[in-house]
Amino acid sequence: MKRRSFLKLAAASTATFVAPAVVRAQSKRFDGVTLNINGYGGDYDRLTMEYIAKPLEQRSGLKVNIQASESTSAVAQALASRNNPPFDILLTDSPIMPQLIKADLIDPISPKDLPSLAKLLPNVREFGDYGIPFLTNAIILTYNSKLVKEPVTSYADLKSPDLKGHVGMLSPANSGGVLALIALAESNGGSLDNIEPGLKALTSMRESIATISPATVTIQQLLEQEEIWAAPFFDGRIYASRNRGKPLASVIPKEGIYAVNNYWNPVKGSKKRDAVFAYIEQAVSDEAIGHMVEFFRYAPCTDVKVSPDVAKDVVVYGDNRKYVKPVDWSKVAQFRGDWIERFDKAMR
Amino acid sequence: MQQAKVPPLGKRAAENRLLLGLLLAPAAIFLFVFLVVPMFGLFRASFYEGNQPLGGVGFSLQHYEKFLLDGYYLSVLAETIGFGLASAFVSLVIGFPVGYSLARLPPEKRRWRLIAVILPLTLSLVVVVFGWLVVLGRNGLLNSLLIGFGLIDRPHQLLFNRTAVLVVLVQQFLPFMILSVMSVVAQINPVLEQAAANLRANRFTTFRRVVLPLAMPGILSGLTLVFILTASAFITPRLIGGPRIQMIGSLIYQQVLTILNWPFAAAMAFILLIITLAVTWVANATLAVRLDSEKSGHAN
Repeated sequence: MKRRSFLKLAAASTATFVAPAVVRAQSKRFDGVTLNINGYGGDYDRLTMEYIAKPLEQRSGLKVNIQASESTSAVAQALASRNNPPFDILLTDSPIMPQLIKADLIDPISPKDLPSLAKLLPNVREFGDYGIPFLTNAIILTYNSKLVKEPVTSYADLKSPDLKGHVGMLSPANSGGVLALIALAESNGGSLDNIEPGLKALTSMRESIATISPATVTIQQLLEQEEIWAAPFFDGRIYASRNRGKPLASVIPKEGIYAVNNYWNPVKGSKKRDAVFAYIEQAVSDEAIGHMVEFFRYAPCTDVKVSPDVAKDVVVYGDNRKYVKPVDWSKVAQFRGDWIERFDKAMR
Repeated sequence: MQQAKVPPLGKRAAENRLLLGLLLAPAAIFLFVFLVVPMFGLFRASFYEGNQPLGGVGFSLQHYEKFLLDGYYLSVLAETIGFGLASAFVSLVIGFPVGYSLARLPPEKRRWRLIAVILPLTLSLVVVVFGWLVVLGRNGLLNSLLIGFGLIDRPHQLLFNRTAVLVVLVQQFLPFMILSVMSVVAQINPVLEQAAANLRANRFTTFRRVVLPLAMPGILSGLTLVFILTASAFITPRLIGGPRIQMIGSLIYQQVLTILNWPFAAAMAFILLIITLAVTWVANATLAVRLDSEKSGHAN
């Protein structure tokens, strides 16, 4: 074989080996596209990466960049840079949704835009076509069954002398704190328009309250350290701590169950609309939701089926969803700032 | 032989000033664009009507009135100033001996000790504060040591009180005091202390009449720095302090990121700024008076 012929043959062989890979790479739909989203941090972000971001990247080349922060902080960033939003998708929960809609920060999505939305449970969307809910977090009571002799069954029990200086509270700056305050108000004759009975109830249990925090993870750490022995807290977080061997009981309070939905929201002005839709499609898939429910024991907002072993730990799964007390989130958004200030004054 | 032409003094001074201006210009422009202009924007926002984060209009004193006419906010401000003064004073008591000893060590012995002083500053503040939650917790290191030494028989609550907040604040900002004192004491000639000893001054008298006056600029710088940093703290009171310990930094954070009432947050930020500027001015004025009296003393 002459040298020239050999070189031609070598070049053709190399192209034959390389071409399929090149063709495969070029065929991935979202190559070179990165979505920026905010995350709650910790296990939330880990599961988001594992069951939403990684499958998406493998299938379509879409990369996801998660920035862990409080959702209110992400909203503030989005408000400050509307023309060049730092996020393509905002992860928030029910109390913040009216603010996002009022500020025209997010785009609606209807089932016409994304047929996978048919998986959502009936009436689970609280804000029309805005926001795609995926998990429901309920506020219930928890107490350390090793240290607390008398079981806690209601918010009123938090005043018990056994719990003096051992109760933790989420502040109304946290969605859980808002729900706890509403629960205290409504169980003492108040309402969203009249939160004063709730503040009075809190003031009456001041001696029991060791700390108030706007951060969920702080309360969780303090419960696990046994620094606090009881708290109104998120059902899934209580389960996660119990799963780590901590003796934390879950109690449906006599005052009833209050809950928030977590929402994925496409940000207005994002230039990656197709990629955003692809993300949301994966986010409401059985794969993603099923694993999140299995880990957190938060209730799904889709029709995903979970095993009886998992379902028994999910507080508002299936038919139990009807026990969640309704909340007018527009009123919460309207009054929340005032509630936070009055709460701070009452606790000082 | 011809001599090289030397430009007149006035022209040389003008060239030097131009060169200085050109060297300072990049930093000055950077500070103007990223500090001065946003500060003006923030100042203007503090006078907007209403509570909206964006699109504010009009001119109103409502936010300043809300703060200054409400006893709650004034009590939080007073507590913040109190923490600032306490933290500065405790940092001085602990930091001065450390700074002095570091300044008097030979460089090879000072190196690792200086790294140990600076190392906490390289850690994230949130990580440090969460660490304190573990150390001061009921099952934490401190309670375990106290029980182990037989000083207490059961764990005590060490968190969620003013002492815990003060301890953590001092731990965070002590390096600034140490470095301020060290840098000034290093410039005090040890011969002066030896001369005082020769004149039969004991160590306390030498400290009081020689070291302390000469170290005063460093002390005042350190006090000012620690005060300003403490007054603007918000992570420590939120996590360590509990419901009854509230500082103005936490309230500003809450107004900006949770309540989204940016005009009120801006008003609080400027009130805090005025307080810290006032403290800085008092410190500088005190130093200026002291330096003037020393100069007039030497002249006489």
